[in-house]
Amino acid sequence: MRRFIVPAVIVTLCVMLIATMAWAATVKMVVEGEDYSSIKPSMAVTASQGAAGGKAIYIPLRRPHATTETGPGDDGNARFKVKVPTAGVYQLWARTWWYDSCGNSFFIVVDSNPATYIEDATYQTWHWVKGPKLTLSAGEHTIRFQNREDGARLDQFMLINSTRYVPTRAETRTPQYIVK
Amino acid sequence: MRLTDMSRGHRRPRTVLAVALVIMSAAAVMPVCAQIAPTLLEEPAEAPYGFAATLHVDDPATLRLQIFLDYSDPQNTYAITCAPGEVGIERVLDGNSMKIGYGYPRAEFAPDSDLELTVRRDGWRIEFILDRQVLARAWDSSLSGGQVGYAITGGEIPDAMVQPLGGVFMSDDFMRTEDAVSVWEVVSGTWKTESLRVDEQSERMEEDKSTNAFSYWGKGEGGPAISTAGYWFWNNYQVTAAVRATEADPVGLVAYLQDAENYIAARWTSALSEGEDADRLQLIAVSGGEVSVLAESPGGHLPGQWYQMQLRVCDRLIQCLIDDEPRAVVQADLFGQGQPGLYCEGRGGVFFDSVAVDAWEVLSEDFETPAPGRWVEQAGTWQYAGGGLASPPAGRRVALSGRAEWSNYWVTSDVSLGGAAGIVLCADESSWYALRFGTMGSGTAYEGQAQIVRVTDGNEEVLSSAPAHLPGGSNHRIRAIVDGGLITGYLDGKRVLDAYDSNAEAGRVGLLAEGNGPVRFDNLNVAMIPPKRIARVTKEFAEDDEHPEMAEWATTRAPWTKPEEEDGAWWTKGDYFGDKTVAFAIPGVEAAEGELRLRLDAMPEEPESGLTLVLVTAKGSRAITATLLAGTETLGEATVETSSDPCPVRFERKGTWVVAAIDGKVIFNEKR
Repeated sequence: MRRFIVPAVIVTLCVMLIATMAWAATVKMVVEGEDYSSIKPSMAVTASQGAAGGKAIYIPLRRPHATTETGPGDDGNARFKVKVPTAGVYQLWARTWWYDSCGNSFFIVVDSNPATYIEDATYQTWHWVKGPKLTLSAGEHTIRFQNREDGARLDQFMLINSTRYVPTRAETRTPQYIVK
Repeated sequence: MRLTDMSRGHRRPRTVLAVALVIMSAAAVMPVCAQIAPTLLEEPAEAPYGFAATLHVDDPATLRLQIFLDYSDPQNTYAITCAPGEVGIERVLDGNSMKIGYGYPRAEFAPDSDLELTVRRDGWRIEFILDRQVLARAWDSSLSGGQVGYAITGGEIPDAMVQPLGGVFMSDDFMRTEDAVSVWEVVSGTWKTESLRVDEQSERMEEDKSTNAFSYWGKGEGGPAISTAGYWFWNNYQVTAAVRATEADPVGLVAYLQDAENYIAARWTSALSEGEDADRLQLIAVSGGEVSVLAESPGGHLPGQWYQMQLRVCDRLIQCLIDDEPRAVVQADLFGQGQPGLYCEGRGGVFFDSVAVDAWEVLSEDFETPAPGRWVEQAGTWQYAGGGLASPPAGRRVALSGRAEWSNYWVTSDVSLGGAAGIVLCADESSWYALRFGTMGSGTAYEGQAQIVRVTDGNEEVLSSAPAHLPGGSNHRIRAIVDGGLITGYLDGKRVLDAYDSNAEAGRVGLLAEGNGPVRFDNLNVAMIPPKRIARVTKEFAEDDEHPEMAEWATTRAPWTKPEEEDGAWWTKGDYFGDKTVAFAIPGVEAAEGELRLRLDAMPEEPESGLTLVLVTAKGSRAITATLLAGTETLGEATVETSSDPCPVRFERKGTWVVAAIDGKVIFNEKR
């Protein structure tokens, strides 16, 4: 019987170790728009119905409203610093509200990498937009949301190392990952 | 009910001992709670949510999985049980267990296999999906909140998570450059955004005459082309798109997409196609790459013509509409969730535009499969019998279903009238409305009449009645619609009566039987009424000079006729038949001084025709004085002290009723 005991205990411990690793591996970092470490006009904070905490950051609507996506009039932006606990590939999500088809995007700059942007065509309602997958080392990183089109708002953004999880409503802020 | 230690079967003593040691050694380092209770996830589970995980099967012989939803304690929870040859959902309320819903047990599980599972909970529905098949469904609202957990033997759950489900909504008008970021993921074929449509009009260089030159274009390459958006956990939705095939190739829409070889689709072939399956609309299921036709109807599309296609899925119901006309419907339990998508075949290419995905919820009952819990007896006895839901004679009998938050819906049912019967609407804890028919010989006080009644705390008030001499034992199709306070009753397709009550807004649906004689309902359907289409007033009254570039391209001058004299009335150019609403807001009532006249059902050449709502404001006062006129006859006068700024105003034709509301208060409610 002894020959069963040792393998059984080893198997059990391995299973538990793997399970523990699996649980520990899920990291979800949720940052509010107002959690910026710095903000540059025209990016500004605004009260916004439906936003978590009733506030968001936004690029104010210009008059006349932009009709081109190629030449924003300013580089207004908000910089965020996050403390990534575990190196890995993280999916970026942004909870946004778009004014219209000429106000539905933000540039995103991670650390000193080339700018990319998020955009979709769901207007006048808060919703999550899937951004790029980011390979991040453990430690502090800077994420910049920058003006691309006026009338765009940002409530929250999220970094998560799960490809299956999809945010559908305002998420609970995770202050432990936010560097002010 | 035991939540743990659910192992089954007989094994050799040594093996049993080894398993026991495994469990004991694991228990030595696991928290105490894990030994006596299910494994509960820490994440909050606020409905709607899904429990998503991988089921790893070690030993099918001992496999037994229980998943707990809305778990407060072992005496109050939903429990889903899954084992070879067994599946079911139980509601445990104050320690009393009851099986609810129905299931399709899976007979076999392969050892050392991984199966994806999802349990969906939306506050009323519970659905258990394993390996892309819906194995169990139930409907119950008794429990909410609490935690999610599981207990398992013969396998493992290595990666459980709670997925918030949220609302289903996306739209795309494709108004972007061809290289712009897109939410669409190409599953197969070739797809691209077209920023300038290639058609006869654009070839004539008349793209300025197009209201929208942007679209999405796909073509197949030896098989179907599919592009998808949305998320894996979406269900109960409708996907709508404008479609136009360049040549006689099939076009379509996709629902519940799992991957390129597993999905549901509406596939529409061309009337000009030379293929064997030409000139028809099909609802198809593709499972493991194998295509099966679930339903089809004749009539194909014409190349070069734009159509609106709509594919709807909810519970077991799959439906396809072309230009708002239902063309194919079928019931099937497939996949249970998945992404929406666009579909086409052939090399000619198909244009898609104005894509929208919205939640779509229906209740479709043929009463063939008993689903305990779906209908809740409020009074009397109800039972599944003869393919319907029947109630023996015993005074008033009421059975309810649906969700408390349902508003603006219609209910249709076949009914066999032994006694009086009807449909219950907008039911909550203490009140409900009903459309009912007093069958001859039913012994009710309303024999020979159709009525709309309101019942509050057992007190009944008749809101409307009309003659309806229905002999006992006759069969009919009855229909009730509640839409923004207006309740309308139909019998065998004919409108019989209506009533307006501003409190008739939302609530559950139900079946009503009264008086002598049995009643049996069958083929019941409930569907939500889509939001009304809105014609907005923009150009003349809004930003006239802000969009000069748009003025030539998409002028909004067309819908309204400008008055010749300065104080004349603006009239819409279009004729608006049937029910209609004029809704707007008055900013700064206190600072406003003047008179406003709104006209419904009127004609410009006869200024005093139709119905007129006259609103008068005085500077320094928040009061609005309102007068309702029919021609020159005064139907009513009222003064409303307003508090909102801007102050909302609604003037509506609702069936045979004229309704006016200021600042959210109904001030006129006249049958006219």
